[in-house]
Amino acid sequence: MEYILQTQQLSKQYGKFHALTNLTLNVPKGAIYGMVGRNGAGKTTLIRIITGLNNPTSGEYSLFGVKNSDKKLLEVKRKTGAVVETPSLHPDMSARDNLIQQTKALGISNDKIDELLKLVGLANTGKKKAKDFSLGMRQRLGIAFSLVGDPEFLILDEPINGLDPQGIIEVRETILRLNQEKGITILISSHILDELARLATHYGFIEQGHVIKEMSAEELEKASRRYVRINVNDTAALAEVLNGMGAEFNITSENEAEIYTPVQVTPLVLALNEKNCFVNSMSENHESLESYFMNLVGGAQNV
Amino acid sequence: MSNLLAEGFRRLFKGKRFYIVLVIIMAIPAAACIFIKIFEKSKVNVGDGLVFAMIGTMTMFISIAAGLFIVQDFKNNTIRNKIIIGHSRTNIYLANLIISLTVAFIYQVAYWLVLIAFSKTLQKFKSFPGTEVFLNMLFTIVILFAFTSCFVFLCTSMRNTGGYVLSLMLDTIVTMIAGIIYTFVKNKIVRNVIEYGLPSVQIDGFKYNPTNVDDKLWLMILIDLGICVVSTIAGIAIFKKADLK
Repeated sequence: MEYILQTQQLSKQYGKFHALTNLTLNVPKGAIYGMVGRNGAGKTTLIRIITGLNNPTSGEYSLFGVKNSDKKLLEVKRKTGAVVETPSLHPDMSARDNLIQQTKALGISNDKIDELLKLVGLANTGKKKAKDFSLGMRQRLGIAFSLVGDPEFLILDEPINGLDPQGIIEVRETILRLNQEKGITILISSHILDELARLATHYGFIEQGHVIKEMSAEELEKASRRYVRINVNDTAALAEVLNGMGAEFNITSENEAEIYTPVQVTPLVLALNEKNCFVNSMSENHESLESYFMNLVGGAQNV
Repeated sequence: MSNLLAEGFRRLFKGKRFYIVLVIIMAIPAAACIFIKIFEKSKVNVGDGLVFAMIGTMTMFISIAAGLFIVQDFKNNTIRNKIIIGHSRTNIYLANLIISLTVAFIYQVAYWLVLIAFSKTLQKFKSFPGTEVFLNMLFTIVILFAFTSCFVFLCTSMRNTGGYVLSLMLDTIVTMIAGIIYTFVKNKIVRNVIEYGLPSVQIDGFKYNPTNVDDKLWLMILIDLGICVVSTIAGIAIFKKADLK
């Protein structure tokens, strides 16, 4: 398999704090690689290192097969685009002027600027300055900024942070289009795991500065548990019955529970009926990316 | 490098600050000449008194335009956009230095052109044109370049408003400390270092006497060029090791 980005034993220390510890990660060509991890796990530090904003304390990484110690790295970085945390924009310039700045820095013509503005839905912003843009508009302009040089590898750190539902859909569709139509490999970190699950073809789970698991979306599908979501009028009675059946379950709300052990529906409903507990609905589901991650890191909070 | 310069100059010339400071710099000699002409009709040789009088203030103006130009790149995180696409930190630093030196040069030349135009029209110039004045003009440019190199060093190393404020007050701080040392320390070597080695003090020899060319002019020019080189090498070394946001 061809990899766009590979890190080997990458470490980063800020004073006494170890932000990354021997992190090894592989981003295959053509993938949408989702980085999953809680706050402070090291996702942004990793992104800062591979974009050249921070220097690693030890270890190495290679981009397009070129190691970070090689002087050719600066050349291959031209094939990279990135939005790191908040978009880096010139606040007193319009969207168009912002993108022209980047064409100047790249030494390319500004023929594609209108196309890019259209792609991110900012074609009609005219002379409005970036400082007057909404958060969503700034985020989309940041993505346009990263696309100016026709990158083959795009790094997006929390690209849908602060976006409204419409904005999230637009950014999601843009990311999918860039990956599927232009073949751009995308490394994306997001706290919104449901959204990440709609995009990613590969995952890297990061905890306390190192990758604890890497897997493809297919592998995640196979690994994640099936469960039955049941809606009842009395979860206390449900818990009593399920405990009696020796089932593994989790009460998720006042009326709902998730049952992880395969159970036969008829005996369960009859047992509940005896306790005047009525079943409103039942559906079979796959464990979500969030649940999988929670189980992986031991039910941690603040994801 | 050429791409970085194109990006940087476009950013500089797109902003209002460069032009606002330029207009103020041009207005000062014009206003001074007109004011003196109105209230002191018989006064002549005003240009001689003003030709180098602005150097200290000029460093402040350069700092406002060039220092903020650099600091805002860090404040807005737009410096990232250049690093991400593979520009080396050395080239980014050098591009910022070239742009800042150009700002210093434009501002000083604009000041002189307006001063000469108004002084020639409204009053008489006694010492201009003359070899001594031209030598001191060259020296002035070198002094401003030394200051500007220090501004770029401070703003790139500190990467925040503190670096800009320090740049803004650099001449005042150096002059004050040098004055205290000069008053209390009688050691000849220390006094020579202050006299010839500090751009803020070098100005004193010709600030109000434009035809006074110091015997050690070329030594002082060499020292100032040395300040440019050392601050640039140190600035690049610090910038290369820095972790950016």
